[in-house]
Amino acid sequence: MHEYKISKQLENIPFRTSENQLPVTVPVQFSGIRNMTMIQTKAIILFTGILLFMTSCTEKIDIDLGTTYTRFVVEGAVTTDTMRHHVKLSKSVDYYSQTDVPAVSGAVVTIDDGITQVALMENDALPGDYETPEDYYGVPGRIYYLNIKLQEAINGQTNYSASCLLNPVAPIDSINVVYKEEWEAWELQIYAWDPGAINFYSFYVYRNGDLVTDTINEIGISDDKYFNGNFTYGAPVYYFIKDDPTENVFPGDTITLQMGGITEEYYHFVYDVIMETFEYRNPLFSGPPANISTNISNGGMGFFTAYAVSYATTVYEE
Amino acid sequence: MLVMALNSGRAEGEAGLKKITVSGHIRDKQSGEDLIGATVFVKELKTGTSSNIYGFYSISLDAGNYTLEYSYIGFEPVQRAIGLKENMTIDVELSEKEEELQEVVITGTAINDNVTKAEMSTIKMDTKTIKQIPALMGEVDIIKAIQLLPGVQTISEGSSGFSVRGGSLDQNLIQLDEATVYNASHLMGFFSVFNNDAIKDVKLYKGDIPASSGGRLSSLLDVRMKDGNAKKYSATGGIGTISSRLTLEGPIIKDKASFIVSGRRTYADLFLKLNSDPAISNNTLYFYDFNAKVNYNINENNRVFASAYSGKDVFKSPDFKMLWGNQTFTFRWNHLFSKKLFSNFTLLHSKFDYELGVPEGSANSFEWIANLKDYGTKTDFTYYLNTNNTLRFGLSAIYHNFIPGTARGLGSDALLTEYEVENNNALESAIYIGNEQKFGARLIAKYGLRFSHFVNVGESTIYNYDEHYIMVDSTVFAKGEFFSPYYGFEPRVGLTYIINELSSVKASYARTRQYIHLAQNSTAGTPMDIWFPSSPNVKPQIADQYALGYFRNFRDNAIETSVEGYYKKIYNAIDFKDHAELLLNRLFEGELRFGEGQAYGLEFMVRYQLNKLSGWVSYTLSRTEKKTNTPFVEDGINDNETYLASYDKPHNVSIVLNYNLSKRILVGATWVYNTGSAVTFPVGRIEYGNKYIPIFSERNGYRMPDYHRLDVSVTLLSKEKPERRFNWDLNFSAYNAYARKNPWVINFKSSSENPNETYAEMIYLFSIVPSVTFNFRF
Repeated sequence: MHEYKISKQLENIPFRTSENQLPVTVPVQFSGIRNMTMIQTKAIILFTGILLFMTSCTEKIDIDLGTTYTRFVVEGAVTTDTMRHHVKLSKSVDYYSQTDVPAVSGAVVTIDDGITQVALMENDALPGDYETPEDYYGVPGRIYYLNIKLQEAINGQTNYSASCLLNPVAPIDSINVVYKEEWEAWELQIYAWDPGAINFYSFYVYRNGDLVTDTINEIGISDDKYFNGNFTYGAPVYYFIKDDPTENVFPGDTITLQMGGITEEYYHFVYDVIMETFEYRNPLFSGPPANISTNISNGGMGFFTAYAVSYATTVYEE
Repeated sequence: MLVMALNSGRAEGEAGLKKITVSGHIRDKQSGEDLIGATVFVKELKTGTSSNIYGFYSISLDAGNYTLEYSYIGFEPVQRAIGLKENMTIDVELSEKEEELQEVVITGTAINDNVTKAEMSTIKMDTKTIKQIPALMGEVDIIKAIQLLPGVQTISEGSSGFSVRGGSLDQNLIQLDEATVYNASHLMGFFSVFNNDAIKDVKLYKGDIPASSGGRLSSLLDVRMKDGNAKKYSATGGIGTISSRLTLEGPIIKDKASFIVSGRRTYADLFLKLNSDPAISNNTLYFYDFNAKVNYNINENNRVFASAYSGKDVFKSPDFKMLWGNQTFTFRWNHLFSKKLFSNFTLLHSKFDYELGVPEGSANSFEWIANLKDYGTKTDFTYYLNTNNTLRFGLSAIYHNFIPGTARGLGSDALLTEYEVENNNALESAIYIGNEQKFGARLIAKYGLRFSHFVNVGESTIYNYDEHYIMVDSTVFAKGEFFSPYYGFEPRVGLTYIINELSSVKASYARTRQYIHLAQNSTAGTPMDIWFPSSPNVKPQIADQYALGYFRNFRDNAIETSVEGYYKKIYNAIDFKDHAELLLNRLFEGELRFGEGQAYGLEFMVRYQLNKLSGWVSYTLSRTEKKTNTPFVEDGINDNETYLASYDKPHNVSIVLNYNLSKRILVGATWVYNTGSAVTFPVGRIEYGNKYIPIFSERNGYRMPDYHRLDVSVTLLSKEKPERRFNWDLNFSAYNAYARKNPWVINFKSSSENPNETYAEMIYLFSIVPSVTFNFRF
């Protein structure tokens, strides 16, 4: 099977989301530098593409990867929203296994913020998905401790734990959606004050109430090193790509942005995930692959995060 | 030992035998170019010397009658009978061997330098040899030729980066007329910055690096530009598949002063215009090189050279630009204090810079600049004490100015404020002394000591880190303030034991220290290089290399064979943490991890220069390991366990054949084979945030498929006629002639229909790549 891989990359310009970035870039979606790295990324893809589009080819290849031992995986978050908060427990599988990852059921899962302790109940319909009560919410400034006791040991361990400080977050002044001809994309812009301290942010985007950034590598993250203590004046935080029919924005659409005040550790975790889920690695611009970071104890993988959130909504008009 | 040498000199003096010196220059008769490393042999005494890089030689003998034989590979030897009574200057011009003579088996006068010279782990190549090697798109390339030598590994297909005996690519000191070339690549490394037409001679030191050189751990690639034809005007040029070249050279004053200018420009972007997609056709993409040099023989004792290089890569699209390039400038003055004391004074300047940006006028407008500048001076002396001792000593100082990156928005609409990674300055200096001493006819010892010193110079801000590499605070150093000095001795020793005319055993030890380093996390090499100095957070890298070799020639030196073993240990080796952020990051020193490395291997080489067939076969068996030592295991690479370097390729074979089918048809073929490079592959996967995320093997725990490739070329030459000044040749070449699909990268993917269906996919860069080049000279 011959397919002109680089030409395919060229089609992705302007690149869509962090999914299509080369890992050389800092995935900063909040600041002006985001634009710069995006342009740089675009240029690099284009440049490499031009250089290679005549000759390079892509082909499936058989690589024997062998098998590996099972890891225990945690995905959990506590935010300041009052709602059911979820902790998902699962196991890893071999890379080539053609199966879903197995859920881990029957565990005892608790979250403790030093003042209140809450037990999470496994959802009967969704094995491995553990939920807090509906009226649960996180409080900024508290440290959240997650404790998990498994029925059966994974990798020799039955007890896993993690903790995360719940950072506050600044309010969003407003957001705006503008179509950018040069990117063939709708740019979501943010107006907000960044506090003077060192901050890290996550961005989730909703369109008409549906989550657009529905996979981890699509969410935006940013540190504030390029604009610490400043007003953001419409910095882009997300691009809805015209090429992708599921992402088109129509007049009258309601766009909502959730901004989270995440910890530095979680920022690096998401950064690692974006790097390692990027499918177009190449020796020119990619460093060696490496395992993503984690805050789960005892050799577990994944992350238990906590963050305050703020929202802003706009209705798109052409 | 030095004292011993001086003593032995005195002992001869005391015996009342006054030594008389014969000195002079050895040059090419046709062009007047200095011949580097030409041999002077005193037949009666069976001893001799060789010319230095300026073609100068000096030998001191007792009064008497001698026959001096001057020889150089590929040239007709010349004999001079002299009656030595007082100091003499003999300048000699050698003629290139005629084609006809190559048909005859070379006898008697063939050169066994590789056996008898007191140096090992070095390989010299002339541009003629390099020219015959089939090249990618017909672009004759010094660095690609170097990559075919034993002990040299290619970093990645098509890359100009190379690893010498397990060293990383920033551990190679690449010098053009003594000025450092920081990024020797064009077009992402597919071509090197050296325009073969302007180059005279290339020498690679893989070990046994002379005490006069330092600053890098693993190798010295010493590239010398031509001086320019001192006899007559000539032009050389070529029209190739992707570039054209033109070189003009000639005398300014016949036999006294000459010049050379040489230019090369690619026109790959012209092909882009043919593409119907405006996203591609609206781009500009080219590189150019410009070399210039003049030299002037003021008199017998003084000669000056000025050489310059400038090269740039330009990539522009309507909304983006990216440019990078190197500049070097060298001014040198050769001065003979006496027939025995040769000196050279050098002023040098190097610059590497890149910039990228978006033109003014939109919110995205920005510019990002980064550069590195060197200003240096060197003084080197060679004292030809007597036939048994040649002393070399000197000193050098280089001032480095680093601008690792400044980005700022352009115009009033720009969102981006300025972000600057702090600039740094440093002063690197060294003194050295060494002697090459003969003990009888069989044993030659070369020993030297280099003392190097490095100090940061303010104004600068240094961030301080805790044991987890988290920044805690910063220290500001005032302008002109010296801080964080590092220094140390670098002993170098080599022994050559000549078993007989045709065989020898050699051993060497060298310590090298490296004070400036390259922050680059990619496996191939990009123009976005960041060089950074040793600092309070970064200790200099230090290497010890031991090597042992056996050298044996056959068929009157027409076949040279060698086997060398080496062991190299690197201390304070620098690597980058997982997912390191190196670009535009003030805290990038926190992304560094330190440890150690070791490399060992065996190199076999057979080099042949037969009647019609020339070239070499090399095989390298090697291993390269690294290890980080961090206070906490979780901060290290591969949990601080030993891992293989990505360029660890245990088996490496190169076969280079050049065959003169007839006087007018030359055929060249190159075959390379190496074990696939060490890579990290996924072994498992987890699900997080609705996405599969790989679990990786230990660092570099897997291998790419083996790499092999055949390149072939055929060159047709114009008919040689004595009266004809215009000569041409036409070269047809095919890179990857049997279209081997060598993976450049292997990516792992999930099928879009069923994410559980995961598979591996390779990108290979080149299938067969044919090219045609037309060269001319008159």
